[in-house]
Amino acid sequence: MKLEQVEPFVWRVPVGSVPGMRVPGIVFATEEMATKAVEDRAVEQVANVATLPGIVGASYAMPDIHWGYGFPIGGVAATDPEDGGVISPGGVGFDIACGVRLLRSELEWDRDVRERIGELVHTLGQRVPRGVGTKGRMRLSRGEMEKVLRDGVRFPLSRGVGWEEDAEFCEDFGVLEEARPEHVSDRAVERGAPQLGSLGAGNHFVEVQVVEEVFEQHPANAMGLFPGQVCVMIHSGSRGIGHQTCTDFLKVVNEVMPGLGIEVPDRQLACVPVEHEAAQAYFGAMFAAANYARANRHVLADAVRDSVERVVGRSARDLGLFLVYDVAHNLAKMEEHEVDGRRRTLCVHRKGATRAFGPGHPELPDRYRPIGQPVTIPGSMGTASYVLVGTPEAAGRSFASTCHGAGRAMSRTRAKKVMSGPELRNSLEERGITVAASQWRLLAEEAPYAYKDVSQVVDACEGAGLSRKVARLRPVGVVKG
Amino acid sequence: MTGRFEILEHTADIGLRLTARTPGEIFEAAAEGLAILQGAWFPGEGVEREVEVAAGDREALLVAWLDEVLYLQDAEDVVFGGFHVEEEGDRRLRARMLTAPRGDRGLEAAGVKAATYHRLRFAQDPNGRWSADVYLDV
Repeated sequence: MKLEQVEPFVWRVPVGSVPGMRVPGIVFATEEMATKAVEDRAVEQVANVATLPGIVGASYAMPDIHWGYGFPIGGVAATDPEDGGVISPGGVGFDIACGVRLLRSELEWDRDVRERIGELVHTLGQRVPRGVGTKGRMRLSRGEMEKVLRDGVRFPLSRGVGWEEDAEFCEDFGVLEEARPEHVSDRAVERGAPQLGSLGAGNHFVEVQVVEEVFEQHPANAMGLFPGQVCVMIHSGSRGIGHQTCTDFLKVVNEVMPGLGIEVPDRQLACVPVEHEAAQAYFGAMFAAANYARANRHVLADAVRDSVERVVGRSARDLGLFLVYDVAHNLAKMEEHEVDGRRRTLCVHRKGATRAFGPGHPELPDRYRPIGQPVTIPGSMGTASYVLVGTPEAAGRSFASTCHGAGRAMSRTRAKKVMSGPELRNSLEERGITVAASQWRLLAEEAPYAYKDVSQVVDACEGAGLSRKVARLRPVGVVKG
Repeated sequence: MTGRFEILEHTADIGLRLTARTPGEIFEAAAEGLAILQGAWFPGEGVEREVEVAAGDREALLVAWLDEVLYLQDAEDVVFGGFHVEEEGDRRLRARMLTAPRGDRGLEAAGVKAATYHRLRFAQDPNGRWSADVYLDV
């Protein structure tokens, strides 16, 4: 598999690299990242995605690209329904609408929190349900589940959980109106009902962070960020309901696809035309699961506010624990984009990639319309996280998409061989990072050394024109799922 | 179970390579491997239940079987004491398994979300032995 450099940070995977490519692949990366992506076989996956019917422009990969299943992680693909364009449940993934929510505060690290970080992490660890089998903060009846699936963050708000203004700073204002709960299976509902307001396991976390550097003052002001400020980042998704929904529809699509004459190079890429009834049912169910994911992070944010209030002894509102933004990095949506001088409504898949609308986009809240959409990029435990902002040119370069994180560089098995969980905890604590994990033995799977350097990833995104850096945040307390 | 499993390296996720004398043992080894990864393997523990799964072909049946195990773990909050495949064909599998409530045990689980169709393989070699590969999303 060969890559051709087009310009700095932009590499092309030529048509013909695998049989059946309809468009080229484009990988946004430094030379080192691009080489690694070829070795990792992730570029082969970029080429495989380029075979999907109706794909428009190119099969894109963000700088945090790594080997996924079907789609690469960091993959973006837009298809045109008017040209037989398809939707692929594997191009969204099992953790539907997994994403990041960032809360800011008026607390300053040195003045207000440094002395109390151990207590804060301990309190968060107790109040944030996490790990396998753990029940969420809200346990729902079937009727309540239907409301969450339909209404997203409006459901917990109707129960007095969270603040009204939170919805404004959530992607889609906290609810995808096109959700169709009737297409979510009984099994998925059963899995989701006890889990609302739980973190899950794996790479999900709640992290206490300090703004270390502000790169651009104007957007930082709009987002309310300043150096020395304490923020809290939440990374979680749609829990069992999302996993089951993807599982259900992969099965459906794998059974329907052969009868439609569609062939894909990897069964995980199974897809159906957007207009097909199976696709429409998937959209309805996937959006319902996305509403659950937003509500889940909303309820988790309530646990964070509750914990900070208890430790600091002042109300969360008084402490200014406002939502900066909440955005998903595993989702497919119908979006309008200009392609070849024509506005087209496309099905944009982002699998481990974040939507990054530029300034002026009508779907942004008033506060952010002049600056562009905030994008929150979690680092790996122990390394920096970033707040970015969408650019005007990203719309034409990557269907307004940027990276979603550092991107794994090492398998979980290898990561555990480098250091044990307790050794890693000691190493992090020596660096001033307090950790609460539900499973110490598995902590090392998520160690910082298992990931790429997040700073290089966001620099590559900036170099490629996909997003600009606004602020860097360093972790001081980590609660792992 | 006389089938075996080994872990396949994957940057983000985890793969299982399964080898056995019969397809039924492949399914048993896969479920045991998954239960071990999920910290939910307690041999001999639990009460017996019967499970049936169906899919379009044998490869997809392996995915459906592992998804059934994950569903039971997540929805019923159980751990597993054993897997025995009673009957299997290309499109349908009937098995007995032992499940027990997790109770207050904190599991050291990899956090597997689902089985995938990525590089999915299920085949018999010229010597008659069976093998399969399946990747799990973590």
